[in-house]
Amino acid sequence: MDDRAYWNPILETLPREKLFDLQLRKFKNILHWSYAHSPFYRRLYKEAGFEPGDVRTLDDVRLVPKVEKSMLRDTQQRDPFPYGDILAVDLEDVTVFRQTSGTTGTPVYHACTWRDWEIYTECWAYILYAQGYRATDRVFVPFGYNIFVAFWGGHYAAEKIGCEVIPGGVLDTAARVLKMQELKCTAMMATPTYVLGMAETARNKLGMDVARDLQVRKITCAGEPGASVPATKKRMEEAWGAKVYDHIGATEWGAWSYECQAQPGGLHVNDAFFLIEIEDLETGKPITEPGKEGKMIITALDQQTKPCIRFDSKDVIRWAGRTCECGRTFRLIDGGVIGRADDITKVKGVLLAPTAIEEVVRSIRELGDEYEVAVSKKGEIDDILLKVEVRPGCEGEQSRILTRLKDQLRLKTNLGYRIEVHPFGSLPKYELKAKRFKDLRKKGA
Amino acid sequence: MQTWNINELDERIRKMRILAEELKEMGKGIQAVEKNADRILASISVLELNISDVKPLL
Repeated sequence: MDDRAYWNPILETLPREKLFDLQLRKFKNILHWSYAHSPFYRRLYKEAGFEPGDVRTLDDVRLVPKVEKSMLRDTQQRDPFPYGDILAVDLEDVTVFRQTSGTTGTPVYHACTWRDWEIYTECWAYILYAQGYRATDRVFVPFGYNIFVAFWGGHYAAEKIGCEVIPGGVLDTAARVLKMQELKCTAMMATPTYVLGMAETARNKLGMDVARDLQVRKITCAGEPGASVPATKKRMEEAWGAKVYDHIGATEWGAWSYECQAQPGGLHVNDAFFLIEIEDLETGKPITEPGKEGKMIITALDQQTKPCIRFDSKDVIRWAGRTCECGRTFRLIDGGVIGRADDITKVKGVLLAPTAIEEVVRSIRELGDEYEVAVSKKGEIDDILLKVEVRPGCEGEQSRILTRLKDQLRLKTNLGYRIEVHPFGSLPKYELKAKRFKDLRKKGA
Repeated sequence: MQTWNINELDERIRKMRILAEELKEMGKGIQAVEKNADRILASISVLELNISDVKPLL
């Protein structure tokens, strides 16, 4: 592979053993930093009888107490306002405020010094460069930039690479499509749901075929797992005539994983900036072998402002255990984020991941892009209701389509579903993170 | 694959840090110097993560 394919050929092709050495050194550094500067971490570790010096090897990392999102919310009640005593720098050194989307509860506030924000965007530069973004690209971001962190990092990183970046903020969907056409944009970043929604708006409202009428040839997705769901990726790539790449990130620690141009059916972990562990969902034991799903525990190795050490992300992933033809030595996870530990649930005694349903729905061409799933109890029996839309012109084939849908769902998920067909365009559309899966058996759902 | 002189790259980064810190100190009281020096130092940190931190492993 040509060196120019990498943002940093030294780090991205570093032998695996050396990457592990680098991770251990950085882990020790951030542990000592947090213990010295963050009252939250010092309290957490003292209460657990743990000291930073206890970590001598990468295996010892498991001795370090984990952090959960609820703990971040709790610490926000303490000074300094509004971040709480997890903050490991002087408040006056904070220059960047962001917050989580609030999908799973009260938003968590995130702080960065300018140093940490530079690192945050640097991680995005690794992603975009690996996906082919270059200084010749004109990048459109069809998203209402706001206090939520989404796409800010991508925007700054694209600028760092040298791209022209067009902030498509307050425009509506049709206006965004027209602006992209006018400016001959070559790349775009958006959620999978919105990528599909834009193509549909262009088709229905503007009479445009975005693959033909626009020049977008690469799309970076975020916020939802769709770009790693083969059927959804295929829909997007066909609609736009573009390569669609996935990436995974979070407000609290940044963008840690990405698909490269080789599209190997998985995503690289940025091992130089993050330490990823996978734990068994039931036993909590570490998973190092490929193919076995578990919960991701993440450490942002260089994040000093609001350190993130062994954070229980609740994202479910699995190691791929293979190398990528791109030449990067950064490890691969198979198929992106498979689901959330909160969402992957037993239904009728069978483990169900919502992405498996999406893969089936989006693989049937006659069905619309939107769908919803609700799991509830009918007496003692679990019931799964799947709401779908049939595309205009396909209504006459509805019976055949639904039979196929049921058969495929049974085959891929080992479960039976009640199917409801809703008028095309009536199910909710999402610009940000779609919430299509509802487990009504849980309290508060 | 191209090879780079990591020691030299690291040395230049180290010198840049010293220069930027000196600049900030000399310009103390001039916000336009102090704050822009801070920005330079943040970028230097990223260079250190990309190059200097890897040097001992090569």
